[in-house]
Amino acid sequence: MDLSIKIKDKILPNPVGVASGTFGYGEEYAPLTDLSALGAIYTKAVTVEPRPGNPLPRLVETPAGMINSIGLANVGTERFLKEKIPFLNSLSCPVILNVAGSLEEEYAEVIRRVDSQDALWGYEVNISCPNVKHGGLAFGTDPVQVERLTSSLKKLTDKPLIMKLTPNVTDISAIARAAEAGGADAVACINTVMGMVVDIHKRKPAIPAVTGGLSGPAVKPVGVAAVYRVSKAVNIPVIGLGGIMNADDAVEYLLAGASALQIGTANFVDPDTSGKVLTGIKEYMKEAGFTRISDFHGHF
Amino acid sequence: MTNFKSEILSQKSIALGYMEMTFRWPEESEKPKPGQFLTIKIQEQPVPLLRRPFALSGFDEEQKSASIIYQVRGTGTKMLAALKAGDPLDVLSPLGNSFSLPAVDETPLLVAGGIGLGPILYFARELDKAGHSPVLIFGCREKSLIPDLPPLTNGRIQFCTDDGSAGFHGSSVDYMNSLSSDETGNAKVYSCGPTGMLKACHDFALSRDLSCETAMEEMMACGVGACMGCVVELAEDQDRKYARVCKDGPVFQSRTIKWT
Repeated sequence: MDLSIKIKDKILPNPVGVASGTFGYGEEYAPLTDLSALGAIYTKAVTVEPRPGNPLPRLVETPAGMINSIGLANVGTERFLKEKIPFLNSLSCPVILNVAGSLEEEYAEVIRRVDSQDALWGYEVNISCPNVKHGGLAFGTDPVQVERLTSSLKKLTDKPLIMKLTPNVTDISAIARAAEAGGADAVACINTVMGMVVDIHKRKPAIPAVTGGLSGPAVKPVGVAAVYRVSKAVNIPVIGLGGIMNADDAVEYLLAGASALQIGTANFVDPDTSGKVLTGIKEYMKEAGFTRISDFHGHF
Repeated sequence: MTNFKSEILSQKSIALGYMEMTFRWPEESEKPKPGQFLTIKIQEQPVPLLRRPFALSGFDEEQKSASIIYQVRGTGTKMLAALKAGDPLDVLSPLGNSFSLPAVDETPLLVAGGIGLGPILYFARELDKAGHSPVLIFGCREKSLIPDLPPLTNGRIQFCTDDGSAGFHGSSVDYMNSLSSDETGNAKVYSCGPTGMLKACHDFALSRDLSCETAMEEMMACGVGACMGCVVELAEDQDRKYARVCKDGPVFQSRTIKWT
């Protein structure tokens, strides 16, 4: 049974990774799950400068989900290199750096500063960030901006470049095609779905940022649909995420067209979800007589 | 920190709306310290989704058991209260930091409100056993909310009620203010409870030039320091704006917190 997935010229050992923002830089979860067994760690987003993050509260639980508004709280590139890279260097699983910014130049600057690090397998670009130059509208909502950002970052690195798509658009396949046209080596979908909770006692939004990102089982059908449509639209690998809690959810994503997966919110519920999902995928493959991940594709 | 399968040993109501649950602590798992907490995955279904954090309210090394005190408030705690002795429990613990020990000549003033009683009670018992003379001050609205607690050996427990139906008539902070400065001269304050009470404890400590540690509470997702969700804002003289309750806390020096 071959569980590996090729992205650009590099191999992910298995399809089950852990999603950015839910797993820190790996160290926090080291006592709770076998990091060496992970298909990939997608790190907490890194921006050029440190960001303190949004005012609190930053979280609110919703039916079968949660809304977060962390505000990309992170230590910035300099401290990432100093404080996080040594641990990431010690890991045997692929480490994919999630890159964020408010300007095209900021994304580029992160990649320029970290690209010589062998610990980093590749990049995942968070294009759900508001673009300061375009009135704060997320980069990922405009195909023209997505293609431009992708092609400019592509020139800076030989490592695989994954564009992480937002579901908060009318046609996610158009955005995926733009990423592919810009030279993306894979796309990941979906980032969180915009959501809002109103506190009826205080008569105001539950979080100061008003809206936040919904994740968890509640968004799974949105993610599966996005993966299905995107995988029909592009010829690069599609990495599926959104509400995967167990192996059955993971298999749904794979059958819908995903080549790899990310476990996100489920890490908060069961820190060893990724291990259990991988075991379950293997069992499913054995029963179905599948020998490689691509055997999941093309059934409908 | 381990994620282990435990078993509930007992569940009992200790005051109106408040429960104490005792459960098995695995031999090989690290002993929790007062102030530390755990998270419980209450059930397999996705509603409610997240694990629930609770501070440890006791640990029995001989019996290999630990306990929490919780208030039955929302869906999660209602489900938890419905579990019986013998039921399995998914526990992730010990998490976070712990209260620091007072100096030998310091009198620990341990102030609790609501479910803040859990970690304060655990700490009071440990200090009591170690030969300190802790004063545990528990404030609540009225008599029916006062838990039934075994007395301390070296220290004492002071109940306070807002309506005067039991113990001292007034809040726990009113009680502390009623103490003469001689009585609190060598005190160290520890607090856990509603934010208003924590701020009042901080102000009290400042006014008498005492050190004060406070155990904070915030909505949590991961509980292990990864998601940056459960932060509290720090005072302006600190080197960063926010700190994580789950990893940098839950216990903070009260002067490092930005009280609003």
